[in-house]
Amino acid sequence: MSHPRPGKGVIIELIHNEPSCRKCRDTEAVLGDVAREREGRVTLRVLTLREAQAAGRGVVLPPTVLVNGKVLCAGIVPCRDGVLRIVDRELQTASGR
Amino acid sequence: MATPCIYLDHNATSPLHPEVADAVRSLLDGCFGNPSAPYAVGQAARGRLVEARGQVAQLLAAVPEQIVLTGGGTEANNMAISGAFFGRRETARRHLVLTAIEHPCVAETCAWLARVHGAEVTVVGVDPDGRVSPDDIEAAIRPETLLVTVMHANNETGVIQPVEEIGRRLAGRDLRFHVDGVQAAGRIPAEVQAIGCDSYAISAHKFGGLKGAGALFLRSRQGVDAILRGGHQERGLRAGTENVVGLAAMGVAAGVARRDLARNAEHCLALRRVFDGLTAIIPRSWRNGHPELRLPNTLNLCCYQADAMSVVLALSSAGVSLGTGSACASDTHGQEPSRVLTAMGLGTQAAFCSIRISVGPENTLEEARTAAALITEVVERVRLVTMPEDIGTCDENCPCFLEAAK
Repeated sequence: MSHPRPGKGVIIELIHNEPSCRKCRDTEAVLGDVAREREGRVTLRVLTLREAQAAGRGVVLPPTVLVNGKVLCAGIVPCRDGVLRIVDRELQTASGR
Repeated sequence: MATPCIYLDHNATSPLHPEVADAVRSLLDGCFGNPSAPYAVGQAARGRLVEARGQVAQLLAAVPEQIVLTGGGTEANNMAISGAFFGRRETARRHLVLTAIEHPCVAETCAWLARVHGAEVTVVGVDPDGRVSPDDIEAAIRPETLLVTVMHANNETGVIQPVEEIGRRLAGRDLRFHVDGVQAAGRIPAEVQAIGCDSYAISAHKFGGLKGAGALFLRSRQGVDAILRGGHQERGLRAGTENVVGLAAMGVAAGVARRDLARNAEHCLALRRVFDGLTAIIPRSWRNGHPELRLPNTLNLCCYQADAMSVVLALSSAGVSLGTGSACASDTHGQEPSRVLTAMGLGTQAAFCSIRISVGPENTLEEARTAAALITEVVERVRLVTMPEDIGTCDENCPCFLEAAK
């Protein structure tokens, strides 16, 4: 299983069902907000469950959100402020390297 | 730091014990005969079944003739309950008593007997510690009660039920007392004479054996009908060519579990104490289940407002495997709160925020400490992004919901 390499930015991945459910759509909206707020420092990738499974990501419960390759949450719509805090922590860690 | 690989879900299944793995390799090399065949190759296979039956009997302090070899714990429980129902002499005896925390293979079998075959079922609740009261069991019994079924230790909380006391109360009554010992056998003493039960179900893969092998202790075969027909195996109680490798491996696993029982229990308890300590470290967390009367390897931990499925999957991506509850029920992707936890009085949200940690003999103290630190870290992260009102909700049009409902 290959994880994205964060470099100095943060990679957020959303793995959603096809067709998207309400939670998947709401999660994508939250993550889109976060990506806009931290423009240039956050890359948002959206994958279908099938694509994620084909890539060997071992995800079973959409929507799943991964931050720099590690699962943050699954099956719930994440709170925007919480995601921002976690992204900021990752950015701080990356800049401290 | 390298990603660890720490397995903490032994109540779902345990890794194959190295001594059992060695036995399996040698069995795969030559033990292919049909145990019913009269020639030497068949009789060699039969010999392995005889040996396994003896080893299982020793684990349960029974005699070999009282052991029926099965295809797992679910089958053993089905045989004990359905077999007793269909084998009853008086058709008026159709009342079954079970607890609210039984495994689905017991609860759903009783529900099916009620729905399709006219059984009457009484479900007895548990206290907030997850224990059933022998008084409540006694109060549920009627003249037409055929069978009482109580699990020895709960799969989600590890809480040990007062089966010996219930056995004493039921002694001399004209009914059957069945105990689902799938989580207990091989982890705590499971001596059927001391319990006083009429039947006791076990599953090999919970104590270092292979999946697809189990056994049912039956004090007497009288009044128990076969649920699989079409063969004379197991003296007509379980038709079908035996899974010789799986059953022989179960025998070896039973021997190892019996030999190492006290040492493993002490080791697992030391590891569990590390996780028990999390309630003092993680704010708004608590243990679900009795503080002491629990399997030495199990902790059910509620981390309030940290969605359990997110915690489990986040831990998985950090190299730690543990469960949200019963593995047999969790393929519903957590759309339903745990029946066990809600029976103990937990609210839906608390139930959706509960994880199950079940250690095994091969885990180390270092692994326990690493995993405890990761749990603390992951719970804090998940709480940051969890909106409490969102826990456990899915509208009926959600594909996830539909997927789970299939």
